[in-house]
Amino acid sequence: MFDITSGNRMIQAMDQSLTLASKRQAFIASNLANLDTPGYRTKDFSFEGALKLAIDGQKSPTNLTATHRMHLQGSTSSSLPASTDALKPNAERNDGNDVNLDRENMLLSRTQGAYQAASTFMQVELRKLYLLIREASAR
Amino acid sequence: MSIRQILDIASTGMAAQRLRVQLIAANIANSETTRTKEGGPYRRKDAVFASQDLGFAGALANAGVRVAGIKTSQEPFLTRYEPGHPDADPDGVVSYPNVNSVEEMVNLTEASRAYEANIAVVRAAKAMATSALDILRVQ
Repeated sequence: MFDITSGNRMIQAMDQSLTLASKRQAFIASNLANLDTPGYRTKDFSFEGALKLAIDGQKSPTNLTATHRMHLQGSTSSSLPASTDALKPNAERNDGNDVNLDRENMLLSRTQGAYQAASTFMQVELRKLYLLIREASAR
Repeated sequence: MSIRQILDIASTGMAAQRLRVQLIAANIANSETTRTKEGGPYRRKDAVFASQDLGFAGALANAGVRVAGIKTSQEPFLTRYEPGHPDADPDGVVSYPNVNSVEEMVNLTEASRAYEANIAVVRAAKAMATSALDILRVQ
């Protein structure tokens, strides 16, 4: 039987996005909890890289098909650092801890935003399916 | 589930910072204490943090934080010439606790900011859980 939700690429992509966003939030929680732990190193992963990897496993919905010469391709520029190595060693404190409160706070709200955006997109997609089913059964 | 992990990590951070604030409160309260059970003036206490394994897999293995120990400062006592004081030595010099109130205030601010950062994580995790539940609301 055709599965109406797991066959939907949008829902699959948002599913991956939700999983990765909540995983990243756990890393940020760990960094903030260890704000004053001597020798602690910032833990993180590249959200975009991981999402790309997760989605490439399936058929990629990010490759937009241009049917008109004015159509825009989605941006592929990565604005998040792949790892925290770029911050080292400038941000390291005397106790060997390199957690940056401002960076983690920014990432916290950013990841929350990504999570909520993904859940809203998924809700919209599911609402479309629901309307479709309702319209079909009304006839 | 990741949201539960996030809350677990943030709660270890909050517990650790709360204990740190308790020690700062004890230091400030005893900043003039010249008699203790161990004998001599009060000695400044400080918490030592270490990362804690919360049993999560992978890179989140040591995600939490715990208080590894409470360090009693061995710095020299502050001395003041007060011949009338009951705890003055034969030269009239009184040893006061090695508590620097400015240092305690700075530590207090740092601890309360770190506590707030963990609260922000809890708030973000709560908002994410709510938006995940909203996916079910398709009507």
